Amino acid sequence: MGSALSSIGTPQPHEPHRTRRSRAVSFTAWVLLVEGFVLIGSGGLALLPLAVAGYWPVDRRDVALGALAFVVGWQVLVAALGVYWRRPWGWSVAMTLQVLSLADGLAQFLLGHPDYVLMLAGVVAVVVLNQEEVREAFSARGG
Amino acid sequence: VRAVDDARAAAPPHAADRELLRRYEPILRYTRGEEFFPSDVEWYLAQCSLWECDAVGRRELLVEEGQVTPAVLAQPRRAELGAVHYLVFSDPLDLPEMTAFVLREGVARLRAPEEGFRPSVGRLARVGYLSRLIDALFSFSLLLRGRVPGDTAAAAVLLNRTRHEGDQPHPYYGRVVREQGWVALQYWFLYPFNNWRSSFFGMNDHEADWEMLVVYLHEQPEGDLAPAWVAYASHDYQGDDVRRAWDDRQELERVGDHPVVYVGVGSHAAYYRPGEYLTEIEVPYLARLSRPVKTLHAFWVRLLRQSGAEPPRDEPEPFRVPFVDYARGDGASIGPGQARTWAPVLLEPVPSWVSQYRGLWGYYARDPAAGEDAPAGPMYNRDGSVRASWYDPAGWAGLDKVPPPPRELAILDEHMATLAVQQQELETRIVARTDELRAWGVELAALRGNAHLAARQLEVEQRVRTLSADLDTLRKEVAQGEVVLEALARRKRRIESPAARAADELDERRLHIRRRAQPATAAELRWSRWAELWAAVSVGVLLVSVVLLLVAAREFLFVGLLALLATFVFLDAVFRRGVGRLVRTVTNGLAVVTSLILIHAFFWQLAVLGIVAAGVYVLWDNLRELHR
Repeated sequence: MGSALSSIGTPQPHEPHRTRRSRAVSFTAWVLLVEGFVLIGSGGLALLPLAVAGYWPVDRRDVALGALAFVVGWQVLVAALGVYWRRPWGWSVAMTLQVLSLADGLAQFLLGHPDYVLMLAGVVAVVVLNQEEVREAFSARGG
Repeated sequence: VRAVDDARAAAPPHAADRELLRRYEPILRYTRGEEFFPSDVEWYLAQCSLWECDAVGRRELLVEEGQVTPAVLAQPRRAELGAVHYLVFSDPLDLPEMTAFVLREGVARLRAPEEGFRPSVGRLARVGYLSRLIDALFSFSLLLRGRVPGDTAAAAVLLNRTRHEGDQPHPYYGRVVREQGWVALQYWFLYPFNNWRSSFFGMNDHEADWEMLVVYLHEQPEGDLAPAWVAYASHDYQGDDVRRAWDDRQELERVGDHPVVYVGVGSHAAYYRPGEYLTEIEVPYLARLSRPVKTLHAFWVRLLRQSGAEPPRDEPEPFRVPFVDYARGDGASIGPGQARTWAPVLLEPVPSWVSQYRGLWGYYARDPAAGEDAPAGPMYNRDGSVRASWYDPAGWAGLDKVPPPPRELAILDEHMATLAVQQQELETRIVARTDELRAWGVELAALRGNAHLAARQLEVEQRVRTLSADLDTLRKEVAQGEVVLEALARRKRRIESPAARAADELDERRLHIRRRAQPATAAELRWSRWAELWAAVSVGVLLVSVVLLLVAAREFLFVGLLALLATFVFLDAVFRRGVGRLVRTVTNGLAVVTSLILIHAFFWQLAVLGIVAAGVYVLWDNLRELHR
């Protein structure tokens, strides 16, 4: 019991050293959170006719891209939490999801139904993820 | 001792040079599978015929095989403009001879696999896609360019084996050059053939291979000679990069006074450390393309700051073909204390076969890239000009700017004294200029407020500005001179204090090296067989897939090409353990494209937004200042 009490507040050898979360990391997490909701919203709108009325739009590629945005959106929310809590995988997962998010936006643009909000969200997310402070926060932790 | 000294004094002058050469002669360590070792000129020439090739490619036999001797080689010969004299060492094998050779070699490898050469990780597995594609083009170009026929290497191997060279010492051709306080001991080696391409997956084959290394000595105050540097010739390395300090045991391996050289199998390039070296050879004509690619890379890394948190590393040049030079040192060794020994031959006075024959020492393939043409002798380049390593051995290794250690202090003192005088002169000029400036300043103060002297005031103001700028330049020079003098004084203290010198001498002796040949690390060699297989087949499979796509599914050409490329790049990244880097690059690339689309679609809105944002920021900043 005594030893358990004495260990409170003492960094354990197996625990990584935790530093303060920087403002840039918090901001990145918030941006990812917004992007996640944008993706879910955008995807949800594309899936709405199918979900509510069982109606398949003429161009099923729109539905596929909407579904992709919807799924990626939820994953971006998870990545946002990972970044906020500074999990080593947070940055890598967020960056990887941006490939899908940006590709989705570009594909919609090429199909003639551009979703500029989605595209803007992807670009802003990449810019904030590329901040040196954010990259270093995760690379130092093995991310 | 006196008797020995007397004997030395009585000996001809070249005997002392021979003794010097013998004292520092190198130990050459070869890789298993090496067929060609340093040979004597007489034997080599006895196997050769002498030819002339004129400017349009007509070949004429000048001296038949068996009749070429050093004296015959040195005979003066007329040559028309564009004509090249060259030797032919081995005649290509016919089909039955070649078949018998291949079978015999195959059986020998099966019987004693440990004695032969085994390649490790393929060179293509160590580099990226672009280099692999360039390599494929380079290999294809061999069909169009002049090259040494494939069976010539086999013929050369057979001919070389008739020499029974294991029984006799190997010759090196030594030369002692005294230049700028340095005594350069040059060791030249003649290899009958360079079979790097045909036997070891290298860049080129050519008959005859003259290789060289130099040991640099300097005279000590007591009159003895002491070694200070060595330089090994190795591919396109030159200047400071080929030179290593004699007492830098981390960079230079020695056995007593004998430097150890690790010789590339087939290429005979010299290395300081055993290992496998990724050597990149620039492809002529493609070099000019590398500048825009590098600019793009610099934009990506510096301006967009996309290098990430990874440590900086040397990226392979984009338009260079990679080759692996195997210098493992696990084969035969030649040198003092080794199974094979040296037989020195002094090139003093310079023999006529060295100075009079400017032609090539082997087959002239008429290769525009020159890699398959034999080299000229030790004294000349292929174009007949004198080699820099021959007329300026110190300058060849970047030693022309380095004084021999005992002279450095005197040179330093002299330079410091010169700088001190210059400083004094500058100070004097500063005083004079200051007086002048003040005089004009006084006049300017007097002129102000006198409207009728406005023209004079303008003139004086201009003069004051000029003088002020001059004075600023002079003061800057003085400040710079003081810093330089401080640095020189520090160096002087270091030279005068052996303790301080010992502390950082080794590091300092490596500072001159900009580009160092480094053997592959254990991590780089830890590639799986699958990765090697992928690297070997990827470019070929990609090209075939593109053709199939064109033939079978032309309507999906764009999407198909994208999918193909993406799949291949992803697989390559998986094998090269670079998926993370690939993801970052693709993400940033997509973000750039998306940004451009957004800018194009909302240009005016973004412009207005930018101006409004700037205005709000300025407003907020100014109001914040007021609030304080």
